[in-house]
Amino acid sequence: MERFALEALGVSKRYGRHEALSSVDLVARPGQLHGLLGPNGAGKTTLMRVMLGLVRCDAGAVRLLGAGRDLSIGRVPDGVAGFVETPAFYPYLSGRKNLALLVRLDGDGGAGGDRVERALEQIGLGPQAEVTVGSYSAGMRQRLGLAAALLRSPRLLFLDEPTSSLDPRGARDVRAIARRLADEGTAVIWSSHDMAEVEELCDMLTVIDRGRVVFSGATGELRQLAPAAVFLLRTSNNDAALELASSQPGVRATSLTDGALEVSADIEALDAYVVALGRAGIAVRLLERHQRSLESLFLDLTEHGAAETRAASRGAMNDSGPSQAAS
Amino acid sequence: MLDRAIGMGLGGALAVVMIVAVFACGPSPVTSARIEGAIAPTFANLVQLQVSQLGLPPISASDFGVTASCRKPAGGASGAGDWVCALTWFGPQRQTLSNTYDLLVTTDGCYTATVDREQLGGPILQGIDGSDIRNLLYAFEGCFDTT
Amino acid sequence: MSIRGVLAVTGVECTKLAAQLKTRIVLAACVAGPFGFAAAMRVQSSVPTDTLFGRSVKESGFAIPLVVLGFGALWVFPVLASVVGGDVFSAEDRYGTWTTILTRSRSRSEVFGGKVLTALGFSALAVAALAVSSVAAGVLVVGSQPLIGLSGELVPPSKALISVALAWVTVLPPTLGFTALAAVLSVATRNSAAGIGLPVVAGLMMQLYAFVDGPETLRQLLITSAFGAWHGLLTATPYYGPLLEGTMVSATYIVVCLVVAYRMLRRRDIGG
Repeated sequence: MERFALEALGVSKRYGRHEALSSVDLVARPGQLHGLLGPNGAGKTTLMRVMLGLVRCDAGAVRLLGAGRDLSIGRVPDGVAGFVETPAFYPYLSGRKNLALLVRLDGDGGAGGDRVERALEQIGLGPQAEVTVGSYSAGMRQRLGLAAALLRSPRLLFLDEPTSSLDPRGARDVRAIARRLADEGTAVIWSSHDMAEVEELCDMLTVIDRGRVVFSGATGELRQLAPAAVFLLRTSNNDAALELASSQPGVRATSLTDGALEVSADIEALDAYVVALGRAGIAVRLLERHQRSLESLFLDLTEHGAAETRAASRGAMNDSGPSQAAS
Repeated sequence: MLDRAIGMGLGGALAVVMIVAVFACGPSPVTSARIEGAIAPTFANLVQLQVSQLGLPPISASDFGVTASCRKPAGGASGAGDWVCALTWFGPQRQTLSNTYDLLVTTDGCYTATVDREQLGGPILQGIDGSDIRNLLYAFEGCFDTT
Repeated sequence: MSIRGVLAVTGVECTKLAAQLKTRIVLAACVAGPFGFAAAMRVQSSVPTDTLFGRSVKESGFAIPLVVLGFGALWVFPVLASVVGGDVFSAEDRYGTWTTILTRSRSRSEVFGGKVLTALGFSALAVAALAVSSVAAGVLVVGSQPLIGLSGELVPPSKALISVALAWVTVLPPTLGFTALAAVLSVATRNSAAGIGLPVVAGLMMQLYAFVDGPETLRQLLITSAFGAWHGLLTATPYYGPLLEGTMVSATYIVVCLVVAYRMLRRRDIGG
């Protein structure tokens, strides 16, 4: 078995003047559920397209399952599968027929029928598989896309926001499938902008912002660097409260778009801060636990500075291979 | 790199072809010689065919000794468009006959010939048994090689 | 790139074609059209005098397929050639399925080869259907009487049948040339309306040039000139010059268009 299921090193891609990817490294071992986290437009999808051979990168090298990719050949190696954005199919054919066509493209005409049935069973499409894809909802197409990927019995699987159109139950099923595949030795790259989902599901994380990697390492490291849970604070004077926070030890506050504050602190520092607010004549209107936003995460990561992330990644290096320091 | 070489090769070839095409001068292949060479034997064959269709005693095409002389009424020695051909031949009683046809000749070397006046009967003739037969010599068509 | 891979893609493309309504409509029209035309000729009193062999449609059934051939050159063959060729690549853009088919075990070259093979095969099939149907319609509706050829000579039925069949075969190279043209437009514009419509418009414009007494070399380089190359097969002493030229021009169109299309597809970034 290869040491790394996926090695993407120094991948850069520019569209005109826009730098979509800037020297991105992404490394995953077999059996790893690797999260790719970043806001929309960060370059997650572009990176996946590069790795699947759909887009030519300007610089960098990609090795899938140990084999270097020659993009001009454009053939996805056996054991590699995935989908980007909402999977598309031929709307005038049924889900089952679409999958049967894809199996034939994989060169497996004879035994194909069984594979199709097994894949359909796994993603739970049921009788809907007989209906033409033209009438499918986005969620059904996502399930079908996952089935299409599972047809290839992947050892390296790329999933681009695979639960974005699914209801909670469907999302849970897909997460279970990903978890099971990883347990069986498949490397799964799961890209998302939902931090809670990714932190809960994935062992390793790579965080991307505006085409650059800002963190790469174990989920635990990220939690240490930037705790997931924060507090939402609304006061009578948010600007003054923000200013006050900067002078409070152990309290980090960022301003959200609607004017409220996101406060990261342990319980003692928070208590001291609330008392200080009262003394300064700022009334607290709302204080509750809150899922932190990606924006504050990035701010944290970059604020922490190179030193801390480098320390974290040195620790992570034993586990995941090279990672990119934040700038 | 091979890509670029192919691209440039193609571009060059196409450019050459276009230039040659636009600037290649030369007279049109639709000449009086070619038309005469096509219409005379065609006319002869049609007379033979017509004779047998009408139920008259058969005559072979070569017996007619058809000659054609064609010119462009608009002037010029060659080119598609309107032409006039005078066909001279020996009839069944060895008399000398002459018929004039108006031709429309296309650039790809095909022509439609319509008889000038109501010579040789109208569009429909009567056969020996009284049935209606199309007059093959009223209007006919043919093609010749332009290469 | 392997032959097996190309054939796998061809199989998949043919399955997709068979499931589409437009393929069935086109092929049905190819089969039914000539019969309708032959019936009309049998019933009406006037004959089409503007097409070669039009005058003979009531006298010999073999004139029917030749009239269809002559009339087809104007727009029927370009349409038959483009209806699949002009859509086979841009359909993936329309449905967003490039990602779906390029993330399987087939390389871009194999996908290209399979789609081209499918498009060329369909054009050939449509032409063949039209040919067989026109001959059948002529023989069944009008009869298999001897045909008056382009030198005024009377051609016996057996020879007429062979000449008509060969005439239809000569129309394949330019039709496939139009298919290649439609394919490259389909890849370049990523739009099926352009891929199907532009070749038809181009064909019409080329045919218009036939009415103009311009440079002869340019006329020979137009692929539509090859549609008339069969005339030389129906004269008393056959001539093959235009046929040779037409086939070479068609072959050039096919090669150039397909090479350009292939390069475009190979270098394209999908999505992003």
